[in-house]
Amino acid sequence: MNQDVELIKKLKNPKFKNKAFKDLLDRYQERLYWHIRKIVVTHDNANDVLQETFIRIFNGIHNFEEKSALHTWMYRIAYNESIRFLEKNKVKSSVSIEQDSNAYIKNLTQDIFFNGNELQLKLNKAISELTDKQKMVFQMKYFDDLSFHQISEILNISENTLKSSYYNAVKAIEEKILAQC
Amino acid sequence: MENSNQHKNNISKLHKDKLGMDIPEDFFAKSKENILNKVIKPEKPKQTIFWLRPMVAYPLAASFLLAIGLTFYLRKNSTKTTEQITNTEAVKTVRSYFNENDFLTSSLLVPDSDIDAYLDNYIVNNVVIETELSEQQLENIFINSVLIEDSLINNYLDKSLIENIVL
Repeated sequence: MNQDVELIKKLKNPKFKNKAFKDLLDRYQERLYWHIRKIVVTHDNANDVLQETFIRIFNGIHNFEEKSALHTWMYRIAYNESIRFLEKNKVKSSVSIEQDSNAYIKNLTQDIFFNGNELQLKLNKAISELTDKQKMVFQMKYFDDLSFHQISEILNISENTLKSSYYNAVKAIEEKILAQC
Repeated sequence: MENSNQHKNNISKLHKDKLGMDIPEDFFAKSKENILNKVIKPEKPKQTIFWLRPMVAYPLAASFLLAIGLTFYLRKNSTKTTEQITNTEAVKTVRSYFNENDFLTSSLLVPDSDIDAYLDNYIVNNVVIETELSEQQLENIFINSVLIEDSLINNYLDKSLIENIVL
């Protein structure tokens, strides 16, 4: 956290901005990629959105008011960029935040960078059948290791609602996997 | 923080193991390079106006200062000349005041370097000419003396000699 405070100072200083941005990429690129990948599904799409996300971060760092943590702010940008991407490509791919499970699985299995076995495919299918809110909370909590407070700031949803959604999601996934076996 | 770093290190593995999602080899290094190329533009060399470039500006400034310096220097010199002229006129005035024939007084106003020339000039103008004149006057005295009576001759000679030779 202290490292982020120092990094923000450097990012806002034109003299150190470029160097600080490289450090920022080293620190957050991988995490943001996986956050995006789970929303837009395929690697190519995730790569495009990741680049757009970091360009927005670079250009918008001077508008960052530090009301939230740096990584929370970046996750929110990544989330918004992912949603924007899905809405923009809705007609082409039929994938959206309201996507149905079949379309999600179809996109996933067509991606050359998906090498999942049967169990992994079942987990993906179970997650895809969750409601949008449950899906986002589960992915951010389980895979991205974010706290409920951080998720609350990113999605702008109260922590109690998120906790409820998360436990419902876990329960639903267990039931779906058990049902598939 | 330790958990966070550990998670960061394992995040790709977690997604691969649980969801079967993979990434190309060296993806993050290449992606980082692509992002940096898009956001960090190479710095262009600063474009400066031709005559503001150091190679041109410094000689220009030096020439300008030299021109100003020369102007003041020449103006000062011309003032000195005027002063010299004024000084020369003052010398002339002083000379005329003290009587040009007064050799000792005039010689005080002559520079040391010119004193020999001044002496030669003085001798030519005054001593030689006066000597010639006095010789001519002496002849006149003798001629006149012929016409003067014998009783007055001694007195006349003494007076004329004193006037023409001694002075």
